[in-house]
Amino acid sequence: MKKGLSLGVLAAVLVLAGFAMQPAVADEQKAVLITGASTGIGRNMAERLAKEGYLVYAGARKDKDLAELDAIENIKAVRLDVTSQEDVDAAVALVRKEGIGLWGLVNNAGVATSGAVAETEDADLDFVLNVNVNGVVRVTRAFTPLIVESKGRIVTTGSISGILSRPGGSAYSMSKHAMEAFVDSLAGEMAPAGVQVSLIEPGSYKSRIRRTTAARIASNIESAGGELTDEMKERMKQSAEREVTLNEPDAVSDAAMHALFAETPRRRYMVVPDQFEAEITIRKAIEELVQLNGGHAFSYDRDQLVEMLDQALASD
Amino acid sequence: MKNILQTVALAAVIALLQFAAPVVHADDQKSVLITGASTGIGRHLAETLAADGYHVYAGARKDKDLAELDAIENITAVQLDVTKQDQVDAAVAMIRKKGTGLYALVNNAGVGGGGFVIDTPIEDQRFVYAVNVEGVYRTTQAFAPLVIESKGRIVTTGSIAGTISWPGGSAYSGSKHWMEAFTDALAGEMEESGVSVSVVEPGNYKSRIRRSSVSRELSKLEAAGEEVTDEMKADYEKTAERELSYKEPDEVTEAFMHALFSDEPLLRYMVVPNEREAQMTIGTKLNELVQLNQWSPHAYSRDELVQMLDAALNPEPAAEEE
Repeated sequence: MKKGLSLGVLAAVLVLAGFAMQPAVADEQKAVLITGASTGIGRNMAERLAKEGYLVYAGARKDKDLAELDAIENIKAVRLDVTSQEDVDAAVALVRKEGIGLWGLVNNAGVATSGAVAETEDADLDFVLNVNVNGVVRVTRAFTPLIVESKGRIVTTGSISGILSRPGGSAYSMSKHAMEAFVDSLAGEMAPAGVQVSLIEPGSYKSRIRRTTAARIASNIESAGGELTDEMKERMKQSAEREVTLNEPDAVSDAAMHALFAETPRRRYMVVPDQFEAEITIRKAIEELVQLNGGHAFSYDRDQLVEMLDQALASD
Repeated sequence: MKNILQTVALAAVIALLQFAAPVVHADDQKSVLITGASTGIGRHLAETLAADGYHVYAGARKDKDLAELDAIENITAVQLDVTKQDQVDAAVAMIRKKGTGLYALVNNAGVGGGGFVIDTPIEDQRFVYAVNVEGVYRTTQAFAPLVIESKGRIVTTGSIAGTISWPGGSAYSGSKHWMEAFTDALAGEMEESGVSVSVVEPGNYKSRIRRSSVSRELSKLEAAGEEVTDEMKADYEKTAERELSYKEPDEVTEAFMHALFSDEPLLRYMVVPNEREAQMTIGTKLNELVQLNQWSPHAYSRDELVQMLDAALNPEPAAEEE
């Protein structure tokens, strides 16, 4: 019986995951703006949306990427560095001028860095904070009036690093933890306006974020007159080699499509390529729960926690 | 049997929380630096440590607060704005010069603030992050070498806002969520050096953080030449009244004492004044867990989740068997 039930659940999940969109009719073509659309997850989402007939405003920074995106049917490339208020304001003006409104905003642009707390430069921390946190807030503030007009959707790319936090990964993990708070706050703030807010939390998929990070670190070192050690070069090579073996982020785009267009989108979409990443993330969430619960006057016992879990599952 | 074990575990935990630090002799007096020690939770901890015989470097910004702190026995006031690298560097140099070493760093300075994403200037969010995030980062980097020398402790003031987020709270909650990741990462990074890292996550206790946030807003308006209306003043009064009605942070200080001096400090100390805040926090965490688990093709069943919960509650049951 239990097995039958979980198979039923699995089938339902597969149906949801395979959720197929009706191609949009041109005269009611919905528009979606995606930041960081030049590569990786953002690019996959942009191409998926465009193929299904939506109009995509694809944010990118480099001329070459902009030209490449602009050549794709249903995609309008938009110069958009999320750290530049000027770029963001110009993008809002452009979308207004096009006159078809904006149904969805996908806050996807993000950067990574690596390094232990004790040895991370202030500038690296600022950089991650500026793009991953302030950038998301800046873009959301600017496009929200358009989204409110269409009672549309705001979707943000988080990460399983919003739950996990490992030695050396702190600035990136910290910024993604902040997204967990951002989305819960924003969802409450937008509910009266009829705008739904979701967070996509991908695990490891093919993108360029690791290679871009390695290249940035290398050029920082070189421009400071330093030299890359063989060990550094080897690590970067390994990271690049690993990145290209990862799955294409099609499943991440499935989740984004659901968040953008399903009648009842979910708050969180953890999307991982394998059971291993699901397990480390869920176990970490449970460990934190247990750590929060322990050692004080209002601790719950095991049975109370299970009861609360059942309540949470029932209200899902 | 399980019940007895749980009762024993609970009793042990309660005993740990009541852990009283012995009065310290001057010749092995441990030094603790606390940022944001002028008011609230930081002040309460500073006074408790000083009364118990520890030496406290109490960080504050205003002359009046510095003078007041300096007058307390066992407290050395330190001019310390966590957003200013020169002040942080000067504090490190001062401690080095005094030759007391530093057993522990308490990253406590923090500000509230924020508002709805849609209509709050990004500068307000930057300010919260500059203090609560970059300030903690800067201070930790600067003092870590001293703490490593003494194989000591780094304890950070988080909040139940590290778990809960509400409309208007994205900047503050975001910064405190950041602390959760910071603590996990730093704990792993410091392990080799023998430094323990903890986060104390208080609920609502008496402090000045809420009044400070509102008065900062009001003085910004005044500086911009705008009128502070009676309604705004009444708002401030209401905030003050509410804040003053909260409990003194006695049990927050107890958690800090445990994190600082117990042989087995915990990674997280949630400290709340009532069951409602415990319920809200744990409930939020469970909802998040369910949300994380719901979409993935690799989702776990209810029974698998309960098994994982049991495993987290009893990390090594085999070791307990006789």
